Amino acid sequence: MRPYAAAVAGIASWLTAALLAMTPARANEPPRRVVSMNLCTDQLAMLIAAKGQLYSVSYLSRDPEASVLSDDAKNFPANHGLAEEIFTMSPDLIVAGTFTSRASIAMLKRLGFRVEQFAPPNSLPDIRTNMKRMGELLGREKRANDLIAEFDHALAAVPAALQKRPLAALHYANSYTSGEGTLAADVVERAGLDNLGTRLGLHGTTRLPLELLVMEAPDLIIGGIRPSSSPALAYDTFSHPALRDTLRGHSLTSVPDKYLVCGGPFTIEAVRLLQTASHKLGRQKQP
Amino acid sequence: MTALSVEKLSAALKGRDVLHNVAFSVEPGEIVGIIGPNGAGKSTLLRSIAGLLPYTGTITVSESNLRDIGAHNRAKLISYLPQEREVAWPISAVKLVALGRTPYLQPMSGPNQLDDEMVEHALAWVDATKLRDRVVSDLSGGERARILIARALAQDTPLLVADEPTAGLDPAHQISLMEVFAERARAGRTIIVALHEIALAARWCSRILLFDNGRLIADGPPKDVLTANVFEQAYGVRLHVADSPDGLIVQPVARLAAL
Amino acid sequence: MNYRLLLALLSVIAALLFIASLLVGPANLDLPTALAGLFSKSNPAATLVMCEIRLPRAILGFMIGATLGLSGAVMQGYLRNPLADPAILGVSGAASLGAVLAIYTGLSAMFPLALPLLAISGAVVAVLLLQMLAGTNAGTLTLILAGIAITSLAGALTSLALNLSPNPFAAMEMMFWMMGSLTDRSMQHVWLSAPFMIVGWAMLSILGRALNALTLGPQVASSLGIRLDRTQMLAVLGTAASVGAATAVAGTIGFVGLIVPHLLRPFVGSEPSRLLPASALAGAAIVLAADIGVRIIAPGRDLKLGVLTAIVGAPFFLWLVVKHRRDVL
Repeated sequence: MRPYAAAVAGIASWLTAALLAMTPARANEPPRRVVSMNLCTDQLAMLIAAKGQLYSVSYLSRDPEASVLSDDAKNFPANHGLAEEIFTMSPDLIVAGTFTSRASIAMLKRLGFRVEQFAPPNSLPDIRTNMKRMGELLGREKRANDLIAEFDHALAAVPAALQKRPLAALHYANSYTSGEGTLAADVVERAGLDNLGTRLGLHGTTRLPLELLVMEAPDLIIGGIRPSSSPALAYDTFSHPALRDTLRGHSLTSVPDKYLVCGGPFTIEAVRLLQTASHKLGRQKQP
Repeated sequence: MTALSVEKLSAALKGRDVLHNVAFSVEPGEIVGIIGPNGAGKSTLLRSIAGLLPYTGTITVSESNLRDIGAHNRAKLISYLPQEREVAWPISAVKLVALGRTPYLQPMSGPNQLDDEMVEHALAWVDATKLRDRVVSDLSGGERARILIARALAQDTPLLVADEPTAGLDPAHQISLMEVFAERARAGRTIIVALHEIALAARWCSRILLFDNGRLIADGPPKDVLTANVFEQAYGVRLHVADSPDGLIVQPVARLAAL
Repeated sequence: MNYRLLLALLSVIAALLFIASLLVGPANLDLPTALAGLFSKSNPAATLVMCEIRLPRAILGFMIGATLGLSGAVMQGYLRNPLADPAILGVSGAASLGAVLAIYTGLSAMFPLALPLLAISGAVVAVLLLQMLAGTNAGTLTLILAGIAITSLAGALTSLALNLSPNPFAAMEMMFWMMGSLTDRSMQHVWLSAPFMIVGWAMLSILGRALNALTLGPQVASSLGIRLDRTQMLAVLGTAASVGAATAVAGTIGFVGLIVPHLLRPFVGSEPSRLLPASALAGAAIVLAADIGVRIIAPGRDLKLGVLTAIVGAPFFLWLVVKHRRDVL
């Protein structure tokens, strides 16, 4: 009996020690080696993390068309969201999006890593929530709160909306638009414009047929920027005569994708751009 | 005017020489039977005369060199009836026969009255008038053969070249077809017909050309050609040849020992 | 049925479907608004919708349908095979490859005519390959196999080109090229493709007499005065020009060229020359009907045209194979 009990105790303690060794450090100590797998978490992490805390960001952050902090991203080794790659970096915290490859995330969790996933923001308040959470995860709450304060300040500084809000339509590749419950719709509304997608009762990012867009005759059409080097049929509507005629000689107002794809302090820039366009439109309408 | 004249005609198929130095000429009003064992080159000869194969030598039709006549004019001089009885679509008999009038159709219009009459005559000649509205693919083998012959007759050309037109016909229709050929010949047309039925050739042809291995080995009236030694050598059969009130009777009776 | 009556009937049906196509769309314009949009300037938004969105769509539907019906009838007559169809035989697939190369290399952005011209070149290569593989007197099995080979190769190369494109949308656009769509096509697409389609029609529609004669086989046709080399050139170039241009602006729309001549053959007494104009009109009607269908079944979404033609066409094709099992195989 006694040798048996001793064996069991030995095995039990060995197992416990092994489990403890595998369990990553909890929030008592801030993580020292953070890897970000997602464009949006990359931006937040780069803004909030302490020097030396962030080890790697995804390769997408280096693309100046998609990422506001593309220059900063070049200072970090890039990852491609592959579990094997990230495994060899030995991070103690991995941050990713909720839509990052499920297979890779599952594999990383199975390997015992701590993975925290962030949902893409659907509104300006969501951006605040994400920044606050990133601050908590990295042990950098003060930095996060500073950024949030800046964010609120900048938002308040955006001039008030016109009396009569112009109608704006978001028009992306493949005739998609952003309806209610999206960050883009919130930005448009906050810039003092009425969003056509919302007005038509559309939810999320969904298709808006060209015919409906034309019939509603919006005052402003906001398009994504077409990359010059790689053609696709998806951009055909941007040069469709019906769309050009609806613009009535104005050009497509563009907000660079990098301001709308992810939520961060830079989203204010999108609000500012649209607000300026809206006011210009208002001045043109006045006799 | 000579209906058809062939000089030094040679032709090759897929690299193999099929016809060697063939020469003969035919006057209007003749029915010429082309006979010979399988592989003798009969079909190749007929296709060359119809202008459907490349050949060396000279072929002259109605005093014009075959090489100098365009496809359109050739179609008004020579009509050709192949061995294969291909009909791609289920068209009616009368429409099929009407295809024989294709060379005469004016660019933008359909058949005229003369065309329609010729079609009806052709149908009558092959005793197929009551079949005119039937779909060709529904007809029996013999009926279909007669309709195809009618198409060639409707083309109404000075020279008619037919490759085994009597195959598959019952005796009555075989004889009636040869009667039609005879009638056309009397009207001044020239018929060149390849046959395996030596008995028919003997009875109805004014002249027989015997081929073997691509060479013309006998040319003359049926009695002469069919009793010649070269015939037994070429065909490997012994014939019984006899005169009768109905004409020459010919029957292969035995196979010769060494072929 | 009387031939003239048949043509008149088909014309009326096609015209009615053309008008119906103009009246269907996500904007849900009522009849007075639609008419105002077409004929007066009183409602600029309606005019835009009618003249720049729905009109080109209806015109292309009509012309592409006519092209597919006509070329299907010609191919069946020329190859003497009831299973011939530009999509089955790989002509549309090769044209799609040409179009994809024009668009995704940026060539058509610099030089718009590059699009129809490259598509037509693809189509020409396909037809010539088909002749080489199957000959002009090929049995059905050989023909279909040659078509499968060409379609597979063209499809694989198209997929490769799209996947190599740096643009993230490119790979998804494979669906457009394989299944076809008329959504949001503009008058520019009409001007780009119509001249080539019309030239193709001109070449194909004079083949009536030759196709009739070919009923008896190429030897007899030749003996009836038909110039087979000229016939081949017109059939190849006419099919390539019209189907190539159609595919360049709308992708591959399958089965129309197969179904239409089949349905009409009994009504024209199986006469190939009569089948040509009838197939053109009926093809136009079918594509217009399918295009109306995709807008009614899935309004606002981009349901591909080829989906509808395949849902009807593929079972029809299978039924044909079963019915003619002995002759076909």
